[in-house]
Amino acid sequence: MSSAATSLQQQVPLASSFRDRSGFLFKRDGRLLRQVNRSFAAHYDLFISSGLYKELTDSRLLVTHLEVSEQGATADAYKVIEPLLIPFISFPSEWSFSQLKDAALLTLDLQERALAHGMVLKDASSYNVQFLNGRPIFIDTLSFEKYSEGTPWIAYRQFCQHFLAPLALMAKCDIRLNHLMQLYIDGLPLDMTSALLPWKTKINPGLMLHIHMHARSQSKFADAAGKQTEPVKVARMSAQALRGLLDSLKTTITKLSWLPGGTEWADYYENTNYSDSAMEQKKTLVSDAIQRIRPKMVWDLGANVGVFSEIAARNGAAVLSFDIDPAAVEKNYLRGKQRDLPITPLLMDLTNPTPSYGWAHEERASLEGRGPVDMILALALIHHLAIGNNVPLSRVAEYFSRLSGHLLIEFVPKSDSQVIRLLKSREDIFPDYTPQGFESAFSANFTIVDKKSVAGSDRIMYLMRSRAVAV
Amino acid sequence: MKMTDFMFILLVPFFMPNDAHAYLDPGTGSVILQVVAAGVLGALFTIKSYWRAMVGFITGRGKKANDTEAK
Repeated sequence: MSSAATSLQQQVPLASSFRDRSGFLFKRDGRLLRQVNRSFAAHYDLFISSGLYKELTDSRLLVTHLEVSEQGATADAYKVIEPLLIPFISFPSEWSFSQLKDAALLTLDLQERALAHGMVLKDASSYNVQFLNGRPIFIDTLSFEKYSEGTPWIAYRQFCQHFLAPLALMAKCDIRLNHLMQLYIDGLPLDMTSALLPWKTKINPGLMLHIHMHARSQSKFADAAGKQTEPVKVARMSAQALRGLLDSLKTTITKLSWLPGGTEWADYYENTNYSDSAMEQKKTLVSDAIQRIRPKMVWDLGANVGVFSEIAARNGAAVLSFDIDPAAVEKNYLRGKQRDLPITPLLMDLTNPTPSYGWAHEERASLEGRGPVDMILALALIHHLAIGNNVPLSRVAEYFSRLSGHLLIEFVPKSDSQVIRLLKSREDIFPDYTPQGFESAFSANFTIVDKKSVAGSDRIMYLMRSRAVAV
Repeated sequence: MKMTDFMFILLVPFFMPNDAHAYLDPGTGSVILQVVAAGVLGALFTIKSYWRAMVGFITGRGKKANDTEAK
């Protein structure tokens, strides 16, 4: 077998990288590489020579890359680049309000900076933004193309669908409407957004123009293109008009706001029955476990506002801080912006985690598909899954064992006030929900490495090693 | 057909995008709205830029009001 054939066998194009024909991502021998196609050569060269790449990477707005001498994945290759690896790819439906807002403002900032270098963003997908150490960063190096004076912004529709529409719905209707972003992979349809938004948003000039009138214009001209038989003229708009459009979008988005609070968990730490000393001891147990395992990455499941995520981060781990509550994730994110810690908060309902979706169910990976991770923290969580959602302990154990090499899990017994509260209004159908039942269920999928009582409470902290994931 | 619909259809050829390299469909309705709105927004933006420059000059803050000053 020739070496070229061997190489072809070992390289896999990424399932998420097929829409744009400027190039694509592929994996070869475990490395993530991006091919720049010949058809895009002039744009890529301008991106580098104009100084735009340097400006964006120096400002940490775009991932850095190295041009490598690797052979391309196809004959169409102009160059192959190796971008900085983002350890966990998250999706817009997993972001809190301010995360999506910051991603939107980043996209507009890039577009303005690109324009100053004679370039333009040719797409405005929210999937092109990722969170690295809690900060938004643009990942699609091939989104920048040469600006041709007078042309409208091709990505205007996409920007409104991917950013403005979900932000407006979250701010003006219901914060939970961010989940629609999982259903509509190319952003929210503007006619639906317009119909869902309250009437009073029509007196907001930005929303009136970019959502309501935009939706109406789309509907009016839906079939117009097909009816044209004559060669079409080019739509013209000056660079200053484009700047005005961007300024209007920026003003509209900046003014959208959402205040966390009033949701289920936002004040959790003010309402627990943990004494200060028990809380301090719990923090020490977490810190000791992290130092013992030394994970590169930790998933803190049910992280609330990220108190224990911060302990993991301060002990050297990159942390994804998952919670079901939009207010908790928002607070965690806003808190994180003030600290320089490698924590990325994300929205996740563990009883219904993000599935794989998009083309052939492969374009966007499920939560499990983006793992496994070195270590999971599941603190004050098990009672919500086992009692609040009736998931048998053995199934919780089985799922967690697939997600992670190590697990630090807190067992919250029936004598705990949080469990008493859960069982107050329902029949106790959980005879096996005891420390013995818990250990027995988890032993099928984990080796229990350590077990410690949390002083001042009846809770027990277990450190376990998965039998399913090699560590 | 209403008169306004007729006028819009007459306008279509003047606003159709024809960027052959774009892999996204910019959407006819989106381009038309954008081009019409951006004319007004561009003018407002120019006024805003001059206004900021003037305020900046009077208050002595900021050497230039905006990097994207009108050409």
